[in-house]
Amino acid sequence: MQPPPRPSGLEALVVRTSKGASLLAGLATLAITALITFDVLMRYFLGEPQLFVDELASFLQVVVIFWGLAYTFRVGGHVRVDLVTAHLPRPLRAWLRVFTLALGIALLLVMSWVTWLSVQEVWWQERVSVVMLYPIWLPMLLIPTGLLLMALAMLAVLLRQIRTALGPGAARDEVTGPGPAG
Amino acid sequence: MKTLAWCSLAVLLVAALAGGAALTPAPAGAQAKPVVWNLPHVAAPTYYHTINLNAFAAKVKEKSGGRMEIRVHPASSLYPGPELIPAVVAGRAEIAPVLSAYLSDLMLEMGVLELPFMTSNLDEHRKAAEQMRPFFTEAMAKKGLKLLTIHTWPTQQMFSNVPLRTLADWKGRKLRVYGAESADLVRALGGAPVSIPFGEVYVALQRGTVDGAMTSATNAEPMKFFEVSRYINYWFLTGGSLEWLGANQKAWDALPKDLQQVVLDSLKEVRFEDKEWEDAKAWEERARNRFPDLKVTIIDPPREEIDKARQASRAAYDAWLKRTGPEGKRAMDLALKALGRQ
Repeated sequence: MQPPPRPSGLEALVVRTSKGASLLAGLATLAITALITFDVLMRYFLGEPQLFVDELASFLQVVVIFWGLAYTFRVGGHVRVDLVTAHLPRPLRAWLRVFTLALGIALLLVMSWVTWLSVQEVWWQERVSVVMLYPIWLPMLLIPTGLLLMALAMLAVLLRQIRTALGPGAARDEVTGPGPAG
Repeated sequence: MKTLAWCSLAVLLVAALAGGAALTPAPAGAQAKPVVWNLPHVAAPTYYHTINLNAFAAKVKEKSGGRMEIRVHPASSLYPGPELIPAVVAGRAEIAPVLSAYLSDLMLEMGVLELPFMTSNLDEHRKAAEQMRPFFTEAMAKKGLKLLTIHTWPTQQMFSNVPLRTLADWKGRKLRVYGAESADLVRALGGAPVSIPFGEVYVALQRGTVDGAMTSATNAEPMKFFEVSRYINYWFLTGGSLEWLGANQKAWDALPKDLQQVVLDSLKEVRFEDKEWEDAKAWEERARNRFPDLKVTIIDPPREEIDKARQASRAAYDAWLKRTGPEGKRAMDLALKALGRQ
């Protein structure tokens, strides 16, 4: 059995960045748990609620959701409905996947652009959080960056999918799994 | 047969994507589309703000002969509270209330009358607000908003599970706050501020996460706070909580002159501003009268304790002045002048 090929180019970039981002998302989950536990203990036993926890935990939640997107996509963790596609001929399924990936990337690019505009708006308005007055452009910036990373991950799969769809007849099918050394 | 099924599916899909438009004939003699303005709000559909805004919207529709429609979106159904101001400033909403409770960054200096104990009742609050109208108009214009009306939420009080009769009773109490200013106030009075969204206050009081919650007494029944709170403490932390109805200036300028007049006339005809102030007072009185029936004990702290609290809250004033800079200082001078304290 041959070892999986080493990723190169865009695929390698996506592997590295999505893994790094997901690691941070995992650490953010841990941090949220620790912060909330600290707040509850301080409030319950010492009567000293920690005002910063609520807002900081909300910001970290953005990291968890948006920076975990690309890695979750690479390992096939997002919800997919294959009720219809499972019954399609394999070559048709391969081209349908090309179409849906392209559509998904387009949608993500639009979302990235719109959320980037929101980041610019809060930056110009110098907006801060309601209680602790933290600048909110920073957590908001995590949203378009996470979406762009997801779009990159989808682009890498799209390129692989096109190669497969145009490749030898027997191999024409949906590409699944994390890809090279993913 | 298989081909027929695929064709039928394709036709249905195309029809669904087209929103059925291709299958529906266009109405004959269709009128020009009305101008639609969206008006988001945080108040519940049955709260007086929503009732008055609906009356205003109905009047606009009537007076414009259907050429203009204002759609009121209550209960944060379009934007959550803190997003209302950015939405109207950016023009995502054509018209919206600027709530003093959410002045955390934009137009912060407009919240001068909501500083703790700055005013002690709705009448005093209104009088000062009226005198400061030019200042509010200017502050909103700087952010691209046209000020239409100034009205209010009721006075801010404290629901609690322990009586707060004296300033000493505040010490160490965990109290729900909703922003930087209210957090500074609770801290200055010796309490421990806990930030809890409005929708979670009931559960926080019920479970003892907090000992009390700062909000308007009129929320007792709509939010069922009377079920989880034994006391209502009338400290009059603020004598009102202003709300400025503002239109995005670009949206306003894009409106034909006659429709601009319709908006202004409609506000006058439904007595929007007066009605809001009257309702704030009436709802507050009604809420207070209901408390004995709801088994909630009314606490009226002695005058000297409120004076002590006013003195103690000066630290919150200093923090506010530091944040707002020269515009805040100007607002403070105008407010003190309006209240006859300068």
